[in-house]
Amino acid sequence: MSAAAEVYVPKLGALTALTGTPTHYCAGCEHGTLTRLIAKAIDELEIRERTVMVSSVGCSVLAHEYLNVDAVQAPHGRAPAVMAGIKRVRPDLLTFAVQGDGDAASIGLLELLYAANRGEPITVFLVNNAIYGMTGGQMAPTTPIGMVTTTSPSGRDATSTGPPIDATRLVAGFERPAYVKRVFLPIAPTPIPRVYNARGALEGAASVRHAFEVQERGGFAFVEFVSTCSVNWKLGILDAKRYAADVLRPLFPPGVYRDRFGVEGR
Amino acid sequence: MTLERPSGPDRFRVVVDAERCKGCELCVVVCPPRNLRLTRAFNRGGYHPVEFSFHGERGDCTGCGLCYWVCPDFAIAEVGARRP
Repeated sequence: MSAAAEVYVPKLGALTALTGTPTHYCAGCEHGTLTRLIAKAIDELEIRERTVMVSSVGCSVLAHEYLNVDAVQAPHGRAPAVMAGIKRVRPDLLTFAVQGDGDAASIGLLELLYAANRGEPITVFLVNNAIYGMTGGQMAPTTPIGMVTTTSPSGRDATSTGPPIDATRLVAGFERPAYVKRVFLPIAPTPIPRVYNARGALEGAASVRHAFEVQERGGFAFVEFVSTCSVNWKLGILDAKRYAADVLRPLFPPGVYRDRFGVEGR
Repeated sequence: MTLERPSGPDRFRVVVDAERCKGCELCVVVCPPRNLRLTRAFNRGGYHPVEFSFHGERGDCTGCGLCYWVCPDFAIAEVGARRP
């Protein structure tokens, strides 16, 4: 091992912002990918000592075991309110939350929207997998029409439940947010069979870094990551990626919805 | 001055932490030269971990790091370049 370590110089390697604890995420889940992107951004910006993570409720609840930063557990959906409090008491700290779509777009929608309306200098990462993952696959506000879940066994019906909620457009509708972006995080199929592109992960790495930079400059940053949940969609891992590209990408179009400080393209 | 650049199929390597791998195959399908593949062995978690080989189905490792970025379990521990 030592001889090999001398011959090869690591281009990409261990991160100080990761604790090394094995993750509880299912195989192929984008939550793990996002955890590494956040750790990479924290390492690159050298902000680990003054970053506070606010844990939300959902699959992201155990993220404090994987990220080597200080953490506070917020009540279900209230992460933006807790972050606003931290930021008002200690403006020198950076704070972020990884929320799910059930946490941010349903139970905590009000906290998210009011934090966005006030333009609090916080960073919210929303992992939108279109279903309640941790509780066993119930219908979420972001579930596409026709998707079968445990609480919509004949497919989501728009007449009784309405169309899916688009959290990014809601946040972008306010005047104060400084950075609003949506990224399609899963690997995406290409016309060549069994060849997938990883553009989402690379784009996500830059977006996470931009979101922290915007918070340093006093702006509200919100990045939505369209993700998959192969277990609760009852699909194979690669079939779930294909479904996300076919159904979720047109429904939640990726792009920059707001960039008041011009951090994109620098 | 000529810049000495390492050449040959082993100029980049990927270190896989097999015990962390959950065999989700994301790195296998994003790797352009197909240097990663699932093994038949089991790790402690009961998954088939991936293994790295310098010679892929479509060429040699180019050190692009896509496997590192997509791996949800941090099982791609390191992407390294050989010293010149």
